[in-house]
Amino acid sequence: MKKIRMILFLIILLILIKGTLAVSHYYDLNLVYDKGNISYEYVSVKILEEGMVINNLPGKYTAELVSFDGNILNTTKFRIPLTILYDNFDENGTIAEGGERTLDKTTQIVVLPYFDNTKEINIYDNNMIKKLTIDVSYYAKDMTKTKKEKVQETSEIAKYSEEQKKEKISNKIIVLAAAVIIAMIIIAVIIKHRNKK
Amino acid sequence: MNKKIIWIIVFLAFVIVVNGTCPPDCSTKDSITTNTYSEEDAYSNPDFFKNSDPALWNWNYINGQNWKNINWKDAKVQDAINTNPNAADRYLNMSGCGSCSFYGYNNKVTFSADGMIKHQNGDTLTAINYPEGTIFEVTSTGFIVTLPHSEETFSIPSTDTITLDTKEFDINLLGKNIPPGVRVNGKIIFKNGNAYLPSGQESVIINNVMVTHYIPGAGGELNPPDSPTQIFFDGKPHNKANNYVSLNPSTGEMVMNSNYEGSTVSVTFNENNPFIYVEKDDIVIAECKHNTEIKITNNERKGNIPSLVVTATNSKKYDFWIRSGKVFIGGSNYGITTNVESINARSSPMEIKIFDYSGKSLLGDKENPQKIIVSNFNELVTIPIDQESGMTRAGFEVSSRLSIAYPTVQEIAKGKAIIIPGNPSQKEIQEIIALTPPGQIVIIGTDDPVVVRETLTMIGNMPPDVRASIKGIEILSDEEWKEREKEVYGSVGQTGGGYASSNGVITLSMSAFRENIMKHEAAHERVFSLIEQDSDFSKEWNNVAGDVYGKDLGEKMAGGNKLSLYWVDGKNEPRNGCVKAYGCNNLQEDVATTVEFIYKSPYYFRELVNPENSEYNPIYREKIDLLCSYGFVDGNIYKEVTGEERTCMGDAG
Repeated sequence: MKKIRMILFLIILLILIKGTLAVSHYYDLNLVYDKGNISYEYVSVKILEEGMVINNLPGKYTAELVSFDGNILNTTKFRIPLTILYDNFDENGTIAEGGERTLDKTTQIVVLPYFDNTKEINIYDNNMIKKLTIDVSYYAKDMTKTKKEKVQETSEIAKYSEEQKKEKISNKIIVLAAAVIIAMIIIAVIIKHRNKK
Repeated sequence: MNKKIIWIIVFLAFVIVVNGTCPPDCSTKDSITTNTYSEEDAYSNPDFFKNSDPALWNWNYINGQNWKNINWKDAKVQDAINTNPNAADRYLNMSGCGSCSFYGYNNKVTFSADGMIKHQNGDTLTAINYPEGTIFEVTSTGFIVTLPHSEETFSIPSTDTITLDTKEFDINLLGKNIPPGVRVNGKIIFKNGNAYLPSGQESVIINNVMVTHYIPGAGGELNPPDSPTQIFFDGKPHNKANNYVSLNPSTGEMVMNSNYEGSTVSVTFNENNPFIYVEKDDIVIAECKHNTEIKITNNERKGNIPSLVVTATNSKKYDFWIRSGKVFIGGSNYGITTNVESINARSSPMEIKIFDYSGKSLLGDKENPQKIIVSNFNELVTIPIDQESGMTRAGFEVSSRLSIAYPTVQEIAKGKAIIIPGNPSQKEIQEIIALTPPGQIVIIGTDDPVVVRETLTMIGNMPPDVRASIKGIEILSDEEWKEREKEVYGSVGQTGGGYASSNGVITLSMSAFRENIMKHEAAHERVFSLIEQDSDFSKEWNNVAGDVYGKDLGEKMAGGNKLSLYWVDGKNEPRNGCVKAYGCNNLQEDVATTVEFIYKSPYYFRELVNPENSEYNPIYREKIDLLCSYGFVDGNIYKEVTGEERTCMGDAG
């Protein structure tokens, strides 16, 4: 009986640990392109929902995540789309008008994997000329109190993500609790059955 | 004095009484004066009817007592009713049809004492069979009966021959051999209890099924045939020698048959019909052109989709077609053709079996007879006749089972797409696109299962590298499209259109939601991807195309960066190595129009790569080779167009 209890406890512990670790994050970076210049509106950290992956449309621009000790943690190719080709069709599906528009100003969301030791994000153009450096040290795990304040200022979405995270964890706990109760009932039935024998 | 006055009064009273009745010698024509006709009492004298002129009768004085005194064989009596509306109305009233009216006096009909009216062509009707307020119109071809709008049911008289005109209202039919629930809307002939579609008319709606018959005229116009098409209400087969439609709304069974060569019997299924489940915007039509019988059965009770069994009733000649949305299935003695057309239409699920005169399946072969299943999503699969379901090329199950025929949008999208209905912001779209796993796309602006499934089918039918270039499809209603067009381009042009942005998202308006347009925009996305990857594609394409862009083109459309639609001489045939003038505007449009053209008109493109054809240009062959190398087209279409086997980029194996 003691052995069964021990095994059950270990299973629950493992599930709980796995559930907590399963939550991964990403940087949500909103870049602004203006006649070749690149700036950014905001950067935030969000939870990567189940079934989602970081999968930017590859392009000529590069985002580079650099750690506090200067190592490159990740490079991601992405696109800043500037061209729109439009075709108007008549009721028979035949082209009746068309044209092209090239944007000189646009915004583009780029998602990047989160590392808790990222200091900054560098953005390079197609000639690998650095166009922008974004300080994200305040999202690192060892952030100071003042950096925490900065997070609060810059990211309302991050707050929302935290709420989502809490909700997600509490949902998992409810599911786990239910699973534990069911497992205990099953075990109790098995034991009772054995005792009868 | 008093006595004199009394005598005068008595005398006057006598004179009045004498003048007020028919003269004693009413038996002669001379004794009847003009005043006599306005005296009601004259009509109680049988002699009055013998000797008076019916044309002068006051028909308001005709009643139950004197009705028997009328000589109905007298031509003058018949003329009187035929020419006097009051007489006719009174006749109908006295015959048991209160407040009924009669029109069309140029066509002489015969009225009987028993209320039976006979047309010159021999058709008869009996007034008492019709409800109060009925209007009878006499035409050269017979009687047209219009019931009052308050009337919801009509008992078909087994003795009368009439054309019932419901004036666009639904009327429930009652009668011998009529199952409950039969409703008609339009004109329909009843002859001795049998129903026909009039020969001088094209269609009638029965339980939301429009039944039409016609013969094509010399100029292509449609004319009703000379012989009527019989309508039965038992849903069973009848004499194959005649054109007929047999519908039974109670059992959900229908049989249609056309035998007369050159004439056509056609049924169009509208919403709420009891045979085939039809939703808004669905188009479902079955047509027997000649020597064909189609049996239609609603199999809902068995948990299956409706079945259509087509049988050729002649060993040599037969002709029919069936349309369910974009899916077209046609058959004749030349063979069976199936096609998914690039039109705006929605389909309804159905299973189709086709047999020849001897009962042999015309789909598949003797050893492996097959059937067709059309899905709710404009898909078509041909599978063994005893099998329940099959898979489309895009990986969707198409089945005879109702439980599979109408999947939810979540079931359709599972593992294939992320659905974002409504009107998300561009930031939300960009973010979700950047987080979508490879192999899946984002569908924006709709959660309509049909649109989602069709989108995934269109994408699924594309070569893998084109598919991979597309991250999202945004679908706008035509109204939203107009707003977007104004917002993006500052003007509103056509009602429908699409655009490809270099962000991997194709935006289409609903009216431009067609496979050829999707292929065109997808080709743009593939070019964008290759440009972003610094591929040599553009360089190679420009080498093949030569210096043609902008040459020989007509006037550009008004506005900033708009393009030419035609050549300078106003024509638009393949020229300068471009399949259309529009393609010769720039590389992007050249690639997109070429890809669209190859898939939409493979037979035409085959001519362009055929050295023996007058429109031949080696550039077309070089272009399709390049499109194959860069994964714009697959090996199947390449072979169809060039006749040569080749593995294109992305082809399996």
